[in-house]
Amino acid sequence: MSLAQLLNVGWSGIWLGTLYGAIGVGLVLSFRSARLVNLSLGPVLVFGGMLAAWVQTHGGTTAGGVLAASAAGAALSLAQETAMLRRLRGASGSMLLLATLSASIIVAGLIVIFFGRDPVTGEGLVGGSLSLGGWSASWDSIVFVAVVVGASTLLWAFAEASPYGKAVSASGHDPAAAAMLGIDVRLLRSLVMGLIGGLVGLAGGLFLPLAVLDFSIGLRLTLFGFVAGAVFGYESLPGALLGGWLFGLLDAFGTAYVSSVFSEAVAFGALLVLIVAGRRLLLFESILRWT
Amino acid sequence: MKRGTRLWAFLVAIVSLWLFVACGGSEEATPSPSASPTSGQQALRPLQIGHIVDQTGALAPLGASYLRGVELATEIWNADATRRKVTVRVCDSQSTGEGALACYRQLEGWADAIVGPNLFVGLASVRGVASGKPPVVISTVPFVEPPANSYIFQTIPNVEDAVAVVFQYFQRKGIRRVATLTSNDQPGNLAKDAASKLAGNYNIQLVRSEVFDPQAQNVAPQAQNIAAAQPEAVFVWTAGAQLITVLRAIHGANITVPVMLNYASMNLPLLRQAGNDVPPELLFFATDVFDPSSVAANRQAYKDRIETFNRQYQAKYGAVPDLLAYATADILFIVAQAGANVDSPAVLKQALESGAEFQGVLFEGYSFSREQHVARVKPGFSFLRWNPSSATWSLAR
Amino acid sequence: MKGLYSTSVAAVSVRARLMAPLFYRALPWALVSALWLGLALWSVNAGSFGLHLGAIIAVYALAVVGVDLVAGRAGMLHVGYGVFFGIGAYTLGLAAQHWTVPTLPLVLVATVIAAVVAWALGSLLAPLGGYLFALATLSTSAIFESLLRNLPGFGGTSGLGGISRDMVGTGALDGRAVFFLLLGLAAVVVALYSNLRRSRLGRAIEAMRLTPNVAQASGVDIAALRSQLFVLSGAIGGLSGALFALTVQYVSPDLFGVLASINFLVMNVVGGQGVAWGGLPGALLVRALPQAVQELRDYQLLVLGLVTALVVLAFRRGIAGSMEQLWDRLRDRIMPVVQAGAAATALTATDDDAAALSPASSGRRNGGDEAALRVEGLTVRFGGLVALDEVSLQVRSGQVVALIGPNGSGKTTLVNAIAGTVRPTSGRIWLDDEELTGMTPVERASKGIARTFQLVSLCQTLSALENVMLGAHAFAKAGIAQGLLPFLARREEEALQRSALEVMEALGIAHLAASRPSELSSGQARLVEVARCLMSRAKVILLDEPAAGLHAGERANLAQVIHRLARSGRGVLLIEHDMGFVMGLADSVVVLCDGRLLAQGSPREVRQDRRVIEAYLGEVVQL
Repeated sequence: MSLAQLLNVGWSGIWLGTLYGAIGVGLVLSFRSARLVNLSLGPVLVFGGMLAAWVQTHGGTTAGGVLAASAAGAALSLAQETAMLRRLRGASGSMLLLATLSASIIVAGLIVIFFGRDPVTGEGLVGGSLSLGGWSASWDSIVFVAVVVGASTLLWAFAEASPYGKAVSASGHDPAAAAMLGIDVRLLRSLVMGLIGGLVGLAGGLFLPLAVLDFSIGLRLTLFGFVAGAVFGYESLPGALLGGWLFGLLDAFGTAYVSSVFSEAVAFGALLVLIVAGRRLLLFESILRWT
Repeated sequence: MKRGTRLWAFLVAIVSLWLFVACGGSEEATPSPSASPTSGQQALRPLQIGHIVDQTGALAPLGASYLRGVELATEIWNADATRRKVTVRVCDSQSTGEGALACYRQLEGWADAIVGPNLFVGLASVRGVASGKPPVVISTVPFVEPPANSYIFQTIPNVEDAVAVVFQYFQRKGIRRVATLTSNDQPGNLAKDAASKLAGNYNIQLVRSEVFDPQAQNVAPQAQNIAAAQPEAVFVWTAGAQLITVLRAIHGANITVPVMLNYASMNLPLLRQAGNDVPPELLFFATDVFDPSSVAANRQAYKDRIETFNRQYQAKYGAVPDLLAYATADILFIVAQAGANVDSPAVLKQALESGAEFQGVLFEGYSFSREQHVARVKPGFSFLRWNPSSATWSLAR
Repeated sequence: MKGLYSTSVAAVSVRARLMAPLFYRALPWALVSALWLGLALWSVNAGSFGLHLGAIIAVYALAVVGVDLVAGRAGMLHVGYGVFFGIGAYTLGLAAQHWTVPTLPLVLVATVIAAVVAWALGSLLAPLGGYLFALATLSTSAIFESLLRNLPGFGGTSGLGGISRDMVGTGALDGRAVFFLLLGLAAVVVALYSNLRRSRLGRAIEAMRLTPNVAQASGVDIAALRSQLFVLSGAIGGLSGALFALTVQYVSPDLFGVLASINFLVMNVVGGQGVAWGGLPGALLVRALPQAVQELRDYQLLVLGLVTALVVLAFRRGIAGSMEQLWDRLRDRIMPVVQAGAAATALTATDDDAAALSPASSGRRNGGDEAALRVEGLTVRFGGLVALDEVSLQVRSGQVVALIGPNGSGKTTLVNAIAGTVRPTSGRIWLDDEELTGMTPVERASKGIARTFQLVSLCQTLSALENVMLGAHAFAKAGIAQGLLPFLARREEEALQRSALEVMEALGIAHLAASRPSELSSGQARLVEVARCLMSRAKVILLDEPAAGLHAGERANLAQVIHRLARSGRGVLLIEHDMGFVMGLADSVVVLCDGRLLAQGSPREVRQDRRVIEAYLGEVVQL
């Protein structure tokens, strides 16, 4: 295989990995703010994407569809926070996980009711592709990666550098103490959930032209997002993106060069080896410290 | 939540749980005799047909098509008052073999015949229990090889026959170097195996064989590998939503040689959505039902059947039917025709095996025999070319 | 000490609550049995589908016990249970393709294979923490599913059928027989599992999950225990998977992959983690509910999600867990005090057994000159920070040594180093003639080092008595088998209970034996901790700020207790800030400052030492 083809394989791993990373970023942020791993992010992303498709087929613009997707994502996350998660303060970690799982089923159910069971894809903001030598990438995939990285960077800046971000960390770490310091924990958590939902919905809207979405793939996407986030320990936002890329590349190159039949086994196997061995080498801890 | 409210919610939740379970578990219908014991005229109750279909889970999008076919066919059939009515009961197999088995158990006491399971996972699970006893099970799964004299029937020709037809076409066109890209599921793997087995018979060299996971969102690595092998044609086997992903990947790898797809991929809504992001020459091996204009003049009745069905489908669902819908619709028609005068599933089985020809939409005629439970269909496969700009198929000669 | 408690009235009411009359203990069991019986009766009228569904629910109720062992009890997020379930099922599936043999031996073989795989995986994965463990088990599920789908001979996505129901060669079982068999098996497994909580391992597991440092200090080998549980969980997974294959007579990969593992976790959480019969409501919700909402077509998923959400909101501890909690509250309100006589006859262990476990036998009475604990040249560095610098001290048996110093001077680090949770950069530690340097905390605990922690850490889900009994963990022998079948270790359990009550009696807290830690005051909790230390045959006890948070009366009581500890022949090393407390109690005082030994001697000498006054005391303390 030529270099160009190799790059093409690599690029496919990158944009798919960006999808996982987007969800991973959402998961890390939700963990940071509420000690919660939110399993409904995958279906929310799919809902966003399918809404964008619906907008397109009902006379709206592509950009309008993407914005609608982001708004819908924010709304769904906020609804989840106020209707369910808020009432579960103090519940065990597994219960919270189960709550978000039930939320993911609800969102999938909403997808079926609003958009039906048929799979959809759609138009991107920019058509066509960029070609350099033999390497080509669709513009939509470039836009997708760029926007998600950009939005994640903004969120990272918010979470690390801004006073709000520190307040978020504090409220996740010790909500009682944070409240005593005058932080409105409730409001902050709602804000964060809204941001996460917005990011994930946005990713869904932009991912639409790259893939085919239907109501049943949501949970699977969340799982991959979980993989992306957990590789670097759920502490690091850039780590989630990196984790996503790592996994996406492992999958793409594994499929191309090792075995397309056992591609999942290869990707997860490599990951497993990394986890078990990496622990010994403190690999992840040091990268974590760097980010 | 306050203590009192929580207790209340607790009670409500318990009660509703029990109600759900109680209502769910008691779906036990006792089989009723087919004929009512009135003196003189035998008044036949409606023919009871069960439908096992995946409405939830990973295979649900395909299940939706299967369901539409059966629903519409039921309506069309029952519209004619001179015919014995059919009643259909649907059971969700949840995209798992276990679910299909559970559905079979739920329906076996009630149904005279069962449509489905129509996906390999379901049928494999049911096969063991269903072979030797009623009700009749008819499926579109193209590989099960139902044992002769069993209660299982199959309406679509086998995968191997299909692959042979495709290779014949390639040979006619002088194509020698072929790459395959097949889904990593039962039909896809069967197609891949059939391809390696039959390639030699048709002077074909398989330069690359790639598989992809049915749930994959990225098939670019495989497409790149195929492009690197420089084939003269690509043979693809897929079904459902994967179609678009595959076509995009092939297009993205700059593959310009003819790409031949299987009949289950003839999904108009999906192809429309793929738009122009498809390889320049996209062929399907299917039946001429997808290009009614090409149906020969001496088959006017068949042409009318196709057009009527398409019109009604369009009116009811706002879309043109895909192969899956045609396939299950035809099963319903076959069973309804065979069951016109039967009073037990065993007799229904005999009626199917009698060698009589049953009319359908996808294929004009289906017939079975005691030894052959895979339908002999009239006529066989044709080749169609997809035109993205007009979103139609035309016969490729 | 011996024999005291058999007449004390306080101890009598303890026993009343602990060894509740048969009625109160049996009632929850009667209810659960009624549930099981109800299912059995229902099956009589149920048709083939009903029996099928019922059998599947029974299998899952059994399977969830395996999940609960790791996810519920050990507290590890286990997303790989589908693997073991699948190993069990596919063993039968594969065998069915090649041989016609009765399936009972196959079921046993499947269980063993699953246990072996669990042992191998467990040794790799169990040391991982938190989300990495979840990720690793998730990966194994994904790999397993991929292998099942693609390895030749495994039937691919279609799976394998034709599994026979002929268990012992006498012919295939029909649907009803299978249902009753599975119902019975599930009932047995659940009953055995419910015994675990009250056993030695059960206590160790609770402590491991909630207060791991206390568990470690009491001699619980956490890594080994986790592996043990993982193996047992795997075995149960294999067993239930094989039984599942028997029921459905068909296996396919989608039933054993990632989503399946998640389903098991959901069943466990919904049913109630830590509750033996939680699998039943969990399985009902996850398997039967989707069946029930089929008619709803497009609204299916939405309703499913809403019902699950409702269950989560209403049942914080899971369905079974919330019910048990409710039952506990009811029982607490109506529990009466029982006659002393009736309760006393309940114990059958003799005084000799109690003596064997009594801590008194290990302490030396004379308080000789030899040092029980000797620390030499201990240095501890954390990165660039030197926490301890060449510290040496001695604690003789029968002696109380106080360790004082400003905050950050390294007192707790020193105690940690002695207990083994911190590895020193250099230096050596001896206990009697044995060198402790290099031993793990668990090994040191069994040699005779016991400790308390700065923050009172009692395991919240254990009663005060059970917390005390935990201290003797290293000296009892009951393992998993005894945990599941309590009659095997009844004498040991009762002896343990007796000596724990004795110890608590000696400390004046026997009347609190059945209390939950949340009901105790700080002072009482502290005493429970001390009692726990005593149970471990400790030669040297390390107390980290034991008087913190106690009011005057409790302090005085504690001081008396510590005095008595020393008199019984033990050495006590005591970290404290309260000078008054220390001065009256300690035989010797060691002062640390910035990790270095500043002064050492009798309380009077130290009090008047200028360096100490400057660094720490600030002014002369008048006695």
